[in-house]
Amino acid sequence: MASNDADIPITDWSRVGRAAFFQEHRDEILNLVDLAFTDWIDQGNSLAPFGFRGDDPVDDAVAFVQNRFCEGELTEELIDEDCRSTRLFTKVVFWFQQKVGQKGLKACLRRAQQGQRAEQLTPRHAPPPARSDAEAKVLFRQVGRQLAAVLRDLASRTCPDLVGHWLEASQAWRSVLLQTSDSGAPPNPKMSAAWRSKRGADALLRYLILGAALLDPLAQDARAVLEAALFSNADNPPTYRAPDKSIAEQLGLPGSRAAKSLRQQHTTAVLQAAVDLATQPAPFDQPLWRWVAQHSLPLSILEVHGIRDADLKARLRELKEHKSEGGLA
Amino acid sequence: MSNRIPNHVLDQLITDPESVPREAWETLIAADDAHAQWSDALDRRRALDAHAALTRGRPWLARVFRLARRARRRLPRLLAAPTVRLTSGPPLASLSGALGPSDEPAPPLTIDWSRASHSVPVAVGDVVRITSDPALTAWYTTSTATAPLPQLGWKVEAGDCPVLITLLIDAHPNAATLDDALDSASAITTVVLSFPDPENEGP
Repeated sequence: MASNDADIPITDWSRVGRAAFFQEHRDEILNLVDLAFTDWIDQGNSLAPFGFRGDDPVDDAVAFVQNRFCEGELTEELIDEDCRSTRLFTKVVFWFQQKVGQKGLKACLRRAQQGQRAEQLTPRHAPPPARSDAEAKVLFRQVGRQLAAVLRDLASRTCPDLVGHWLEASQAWRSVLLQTSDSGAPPNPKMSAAWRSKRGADALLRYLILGAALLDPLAQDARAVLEAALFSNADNPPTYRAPDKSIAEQLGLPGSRAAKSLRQQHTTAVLQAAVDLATQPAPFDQPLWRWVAQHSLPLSILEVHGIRDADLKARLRELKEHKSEGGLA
Repeated sequence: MSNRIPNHVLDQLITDPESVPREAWETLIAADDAHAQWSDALDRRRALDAHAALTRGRPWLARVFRLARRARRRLPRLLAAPTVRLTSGPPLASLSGALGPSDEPAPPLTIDWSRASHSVPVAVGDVVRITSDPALTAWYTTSTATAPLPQLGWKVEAGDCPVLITLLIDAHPNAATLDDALDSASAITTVVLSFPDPENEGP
């Protein structure tokens, strides 16, 4: 999630520059630090392991941040690019690290979160079924690693909302694949079923594209269009796609209509490849992504991308029927 | 068993996905309530960002938010507080026969004393009213003043917003400053009156 307009950029990281920045935005900064540390406490955590005690540990922490920011050794390279702004003052763990150092951080965090951990360790569901043997455990772990790596890629190249849609849409098949329990968590009440279905379908497709490397076989111009449309960190609901106009400008296309046409044409090609993966014998090294493809291509994906292709529709419907009959391995 | 991920790690996954060790992503995808955890963390991050946006360039607002929060931290756990409601809408909304649907007042907001802050979107001309209670006092803060609000109401005028109303229970009725009122209160919360930002409206 990129830094946004709310954040005031910090450009001069010299000690004098930081002190001047602090003086200029003193009340806004102190309020943000106070809010972030209060949130930390409100979530059931402690500040004591980091040495913030006294009558009001949050006040102690705020005073430390002020002193560290204005007087300490802070260089731009130490700070994540997205946090080189007032957002830095909402990142409590960064300041914890400044207080206790990287070495002590892990132990302090563990002690600070004991209240939260007690809640976390309470079993809320039946434990997952026992695995048959150590080999299966290793296999599940490997699968988990692969899925997680692609989700990180999706998060870096799209937006947090889309990751959330993927987590919701993939919950049932993830629990099967990873042999975890499916809580059957209630759907997000803020969104309608139709909205969730479409956004879930879109997120599943984009994840599959990254996981199965479906852009790789495409020609360079097709890949450029889909990279620009689907993987450019667009955080604009409901499509979470770069607008066709900006794709046209970025790629030097004649206009937004041309960009839209190319986007739909290439998305159709990728969808065809995804259905191929789901329905045809997989290369020996791709059984995981074949399985994921079989569970990631609902019919609503056509509506999401405005694709009217009778052949593709028929293939997606056939895939759905096979899946519900248990005909897909 | 639920694989809970600490909130600060979830925040890091959201704000800087590449910087987090891959084990955190593995824990997330194996969690049976991964979507709920992610969604809660995203709400928390957006609330922080929204607060930063609201206070950016408004030190007077940031100062009072912090004062109220610090005073709340000193309070013992709240056991009971009077029910207080806030209504907002056009001044003649009660004469509903003469008005169209768009002029209908918003449903009343019941103040949740366990929350530090509430937000109420308003339009120019709206009147905000707070139900009276003997224990309740209110102060308002604008860019130019902080003062008591004995009439427990506010008429929104162009250029007003945001206005911060601090609601207090049991505060000294003759407190000379908001600091003094906060020091003597047994329950504290704030209400921000602001114009909706068209760019931030939902889908």
